[in-house]
Amino acid sequence: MNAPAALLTHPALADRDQRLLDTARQGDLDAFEALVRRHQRKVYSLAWHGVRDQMLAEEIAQDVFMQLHAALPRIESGAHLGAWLRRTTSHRVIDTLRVRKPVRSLDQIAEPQASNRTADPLADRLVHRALARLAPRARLVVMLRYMDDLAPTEIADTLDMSLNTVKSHLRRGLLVLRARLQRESTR
Amino acid sequence: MNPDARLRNALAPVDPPDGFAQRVRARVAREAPAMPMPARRRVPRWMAVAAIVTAVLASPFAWREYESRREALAAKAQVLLALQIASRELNSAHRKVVRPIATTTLAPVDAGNSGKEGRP
Repeated sequence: MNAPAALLTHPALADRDQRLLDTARQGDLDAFEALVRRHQRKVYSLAWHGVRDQMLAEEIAQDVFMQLHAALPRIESGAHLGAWLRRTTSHRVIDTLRVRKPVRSLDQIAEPQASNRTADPLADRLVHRALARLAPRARLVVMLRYMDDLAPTEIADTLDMSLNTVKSHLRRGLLVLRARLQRESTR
Repeated sequence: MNPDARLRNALAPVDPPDGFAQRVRARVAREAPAMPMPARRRVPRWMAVAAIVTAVLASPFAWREYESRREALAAKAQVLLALQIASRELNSAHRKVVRPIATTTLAPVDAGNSGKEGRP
């Protein structure tokens, strides 16, 4: 399982989130900043892999945390917070992809700092080029499956889709990716 | 490497640029309105509904109570008025009774005196 997703569901960390949530609800900005630090990587990663633009990814991530600040009274628990952030970021990325046209070639985009990467930048670019060919919602389905190791039912909940739609997006998305990767590797 | 592994590798978590959390904090301090009241302190919806239902159910009793109190006050005012009238009547009757007695007891003396003094 992917480390961040597994860690976020750990009860001790959820408890810590709960305590920070309680304090942040009283208007404590230190507690809110601590919450941002704990979840920034997850939110930013989703935004970055979705739009592949550092400025835009930071804008999306900041907006998501601004929305979180406004929604603090409605966040019930640490576990709810994780799901809320994933859902809000995913929808924000889909909305951005729908209105935005790619302004640069994927080859020109600088890779951000990745901590646990076994780095083959060329291979990564091939994957992202293949992902960029998918429709926004299909792209998010594949991303949530492989970034956060979410089950299809969880992806369906996150993106407000039926389970069958998620499964069909996954199947089709992986077919497209495999075909493209195979074509690239035989060149 | 199989496609699944390549996907996982390409979608590895990335760190946001340095100072991200501070920028979010600064933006919250600049743009966010004051925190809304915590949910715990808000009046629960069921409590508001219960208050309205109680008010609706209790209003006929409250109205009846108000009406009976108003009638009691009106009756009291009438009694007071009746007492005032009775008192006035008694006073005037008393005056009528007391004055003739006073005039009849004084009149013969005066007449006798004047009669005797008036005769040659």
